[in-house]
Amino acid sequence: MLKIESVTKSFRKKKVLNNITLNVKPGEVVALAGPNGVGKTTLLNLIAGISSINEGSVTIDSIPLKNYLRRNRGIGYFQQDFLFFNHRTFADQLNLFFDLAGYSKIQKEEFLERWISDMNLQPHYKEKIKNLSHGTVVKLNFLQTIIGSPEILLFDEPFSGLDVEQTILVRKYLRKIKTQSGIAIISSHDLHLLDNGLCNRFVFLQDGEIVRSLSEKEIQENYMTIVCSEDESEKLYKKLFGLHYNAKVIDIGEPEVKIVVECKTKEIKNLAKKEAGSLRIIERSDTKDIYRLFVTS
Amino acid sequence: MSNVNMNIETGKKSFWRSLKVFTRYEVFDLLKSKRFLLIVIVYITLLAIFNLLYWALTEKNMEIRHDPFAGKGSLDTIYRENIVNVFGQTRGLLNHVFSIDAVTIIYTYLMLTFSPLFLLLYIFPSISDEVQNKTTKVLSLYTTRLSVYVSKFIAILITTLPLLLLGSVITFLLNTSRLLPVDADVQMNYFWKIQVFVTLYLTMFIAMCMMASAAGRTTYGSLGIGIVLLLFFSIIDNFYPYASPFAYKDLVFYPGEQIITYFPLVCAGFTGIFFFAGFLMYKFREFK
Repeated sequence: MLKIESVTKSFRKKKVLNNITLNVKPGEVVALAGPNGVGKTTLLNLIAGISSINEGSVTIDSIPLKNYLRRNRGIGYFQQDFLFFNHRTFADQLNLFFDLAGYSKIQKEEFLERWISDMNLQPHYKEKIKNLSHGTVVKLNFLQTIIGSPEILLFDEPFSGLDVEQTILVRKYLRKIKTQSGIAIISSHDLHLLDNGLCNRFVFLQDGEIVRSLSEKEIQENYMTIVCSEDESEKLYKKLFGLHYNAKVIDIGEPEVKIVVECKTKEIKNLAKKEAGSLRIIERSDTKDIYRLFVTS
Repeated sequence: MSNVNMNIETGKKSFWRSLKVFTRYEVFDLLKSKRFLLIVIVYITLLAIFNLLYWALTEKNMEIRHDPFAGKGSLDTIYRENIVNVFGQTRGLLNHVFSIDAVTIIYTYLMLTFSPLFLLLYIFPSISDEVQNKTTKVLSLYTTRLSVYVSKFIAILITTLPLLLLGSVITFLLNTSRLLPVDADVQMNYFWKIQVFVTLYLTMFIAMCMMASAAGRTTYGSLGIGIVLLLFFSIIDNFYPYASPFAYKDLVFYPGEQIITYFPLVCAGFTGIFFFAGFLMYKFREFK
């Protein structure tokens, strides 16, 4: 169990994270969402032990993070800024991490056999990292994250630069974490890729604070989206907002707009549906629509 | 697309394994680097120039004295004169602690004078490069920063000291065979004392340059800090002798028995302080 309690982090005098509390159980895949500069990467850095915590604590299975990290290669971290030794080859880079993680020759071969062909990396294996394409570097980043089969995986924008096939492969891997009692925290702007049952929970951040932490069940039961014309939206918004609902009209750049409605209970959701009448209702709101309900860029 | 088959079993971190692995990678990286090649070229060139200059100077003095077949005693006088003229050092150098032929001593002295700058040019990116490129963020997930720092220190020692000591060996062999037909065993005994002296002296500066590298956020920042540190200690050397690591190179000319006994302790002290300060700066380096 990963426990983040009242964590605060400042750089110089600027508070980047403020009183963050988050518990993640084994088998959970959590999505972190929020606009740029909101502190998502900083939060992942803190969990990975790369940055120090100013206030609060992080524990893993009740062991303070520092003690845990001293003994275990328990955290794999896919970092957004592709941190590689550019003068080395793809193979050198992987071998360094294999050796640091204590892989035997057989384990190395097994790993490579499993992943290199799947990710279509054979042609690049001997190439220098500085000559690799963006997509290949992302794949290398992914591989170095999972070396050592860490219990906790942190992903910062894992899908950027991946083609469709590779995205499916990564999603498949993340699903596997759920069934094998691992923990994953994914920060991504591609919220649609985290939907469809991949993540158990969505955590929305704004100005260094968690504004909402929603389980899949809560999203299912308490949120809905109504699609209507701009004229209709004004009337409907007035009816819905301020009574028992939190609602927001979202411009999706099309003739129609969406109204995302947050209802405190299932019953209120039914009432809201009645108010919507014959308008098109999406029972399970897209997480990117819910994101826009809470988060302003 | 194959099935994803992942066994989650947490790998244990091991300081010694990381140290061994990372040192090996660092040594190969350094040996393949352009700055290593550059330092070898510059170093060998200077080695040749220093030796030739000193030979030329000695030959000239011998000619002036019309004593081309002089024995050790006469040569000692010439060496001493050279040392007085070239380095402004007034003390004799052939004594019971470091009695060895003068050319090797001169070479050693010059090497001790110039090496800190060479070392800085070689070492300044070692830590700052990791910080600038943020590769430390990845390494921290596999190993401790202590292990990274120690590995880099060892890798630098492995790649630099043999090179510098090799220079001494070449100088020694070149000059003793030509100029001083004295007892080889005695020569070798003193020769190795000088090598220990040089090793300890340069280790101090390797630790100092590592500290400069850890102090900067960028590679050029570290280079700047390193130059400032070298200048600072050069100035200190003039006002507070022996409060600066530079002061200890003069022991080649003033090798009092007592100072030599304490020299390893002084070196260990300076090395420890520089190493620890550099490590702390690296350990507490924050990444956004």
